[in-house]
Amino acid sequence: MTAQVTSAAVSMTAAVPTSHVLAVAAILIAIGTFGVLLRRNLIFMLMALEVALNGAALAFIGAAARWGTADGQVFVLFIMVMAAAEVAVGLALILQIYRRASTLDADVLDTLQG
Amino acid sequence: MSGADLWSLAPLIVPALAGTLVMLLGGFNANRRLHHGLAVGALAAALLCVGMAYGTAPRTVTPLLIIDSYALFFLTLIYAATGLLAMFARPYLAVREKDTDAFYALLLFAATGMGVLACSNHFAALFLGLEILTVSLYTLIGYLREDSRSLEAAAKYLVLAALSSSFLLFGIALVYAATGTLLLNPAFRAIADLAPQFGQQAEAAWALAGGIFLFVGFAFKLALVPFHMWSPDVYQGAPAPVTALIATGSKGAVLAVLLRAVGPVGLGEIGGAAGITVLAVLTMFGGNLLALLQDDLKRLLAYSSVAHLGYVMVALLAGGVAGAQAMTFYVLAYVLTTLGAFGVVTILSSESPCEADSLAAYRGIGWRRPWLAATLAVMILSLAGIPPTAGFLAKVAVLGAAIEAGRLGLAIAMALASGVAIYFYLRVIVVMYMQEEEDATEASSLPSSFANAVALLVLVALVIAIGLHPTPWFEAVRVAVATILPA
Repeated sequence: MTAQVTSAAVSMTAAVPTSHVLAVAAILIAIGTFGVLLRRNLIFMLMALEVALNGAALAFIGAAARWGTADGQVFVLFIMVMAAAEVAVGLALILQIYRRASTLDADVLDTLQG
Repeated sequence: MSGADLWSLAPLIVPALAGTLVMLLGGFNANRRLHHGLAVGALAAALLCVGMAYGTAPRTVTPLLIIDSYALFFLTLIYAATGLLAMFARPYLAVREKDTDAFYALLLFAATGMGVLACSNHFAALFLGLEILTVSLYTLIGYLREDSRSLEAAAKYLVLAALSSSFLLFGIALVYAATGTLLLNPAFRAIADLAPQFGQQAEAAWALAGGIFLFVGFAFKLALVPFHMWSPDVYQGAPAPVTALIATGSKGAVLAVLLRAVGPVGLGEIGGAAGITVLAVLTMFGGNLLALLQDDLKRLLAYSSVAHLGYVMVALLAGGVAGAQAMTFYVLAYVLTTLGAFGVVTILSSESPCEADSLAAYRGIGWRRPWLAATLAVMILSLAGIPPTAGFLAKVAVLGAAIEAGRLGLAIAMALASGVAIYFYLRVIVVMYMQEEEDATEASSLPSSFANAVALLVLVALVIAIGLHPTPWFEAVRVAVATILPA
């Protein structure tokens, strides 16, 4: 089992250097961050968050392939579960906001000010 | 995993099981008193389990969790705080007709998440604990779903907490790519070893970038300036008992895991000292200066807790055993004090469905509600750091650790920032004891619920007792810190 994992890891690292995987992951994180900051529609903000989370998950896949261990891959499963939980709560919240405000524009959320 | 392992994990298992039980019971039994009683009882049982786990500590259960006296110290603090919160929450929810099983189940899950954070020894446990806590908090913040302020706060918290989680995760992934370990201390040691080779090795760059992402993630969770934008809005919009949970337990748990991860290595070794110093100074002054402008008590306390996290960062920067002890002691004092302050806000918000958060609502309560006002005044004085309260000694401990570590500039900055803070803390007290124009004299001096009165009394007694006789508390902190940082 360990030998298999290691050989798979070696072949993947030979094909794609870890630094490239991490670079793509960083780009995904950047896209997600700018999406959250620039988008005003709540659904799009939630989607941008998912992109950022997937960037982190991709980085874990690259790192796990580099070391040939399962730890990083288990982490990806955790991230998927957490992203699902977050979207479930997030969509319920957005639905409730839409019912009250009849819009998905994040700029309506400005009553809390000091 | 052996039976003994399960026994030592009991402090984490009890609240998790109880949360599930409350959720299931809620399906066919609408007895609110039962749900509330189960939640409080489960947290009391969890505290008992913490006491029993001292016998087997320190014990590493799987590579993920470690039950040592440091973890048990924070578990005690977190469960006690959550238990008191559950008591404060009941009249608050009842008056809004929202006293349901869901609140208590979520509160217990949040307690589990905080407990896992306090015990985590591995990035996977850190992540799981943080997410159990955060997802519970999303729902708790938006719990008053007919109130648009509560929904707004939940949406803001969701977006920023999820974004910061992805930063934190990316940081963990980079550190893992560079070092090949996910255990907290070895990973930070490896960053410290790699940091000097920056520019020669790709791994060093990954490790440093990972370290930065990790700290940005933590800074978001702890609301350090300039990552604090969410905190005043969320504090103001969330239901008062949930605000208390965010301000006390969740901050305490994140600080516990941060100190466990970073303390033994030292921030200076990792190469983050300069950056964190800037953050700490910005946080202390930013929090206190912005608090000067607030007319809303919940927002004011939000900025005040931002500033307090800045003081905690000073202790973290001081480093070493003295810094770690000062930090732990500060967290203890801060959690008890903030809980008391929000406890009073919760009780005053329990009398009618509208939130008692604007400072105007506190005008003259010193005459109408002398006991509650006196409690709030003690808590505010402790937050301001005026003797003989716990807050004063905690500040002295942090200043002492900073001076001992040769961080004189930081110590001076902290003293100046605390000086600024006294102005707005005293303003609250002055408002409370101002004579009202329309001389309304309702003579209901005690809080409506007997349990809440006792809970507040305990908090006041603790805050003053720590201030007057700190030796046993310092000793408890010393024992706790000794397990992660042997002197």
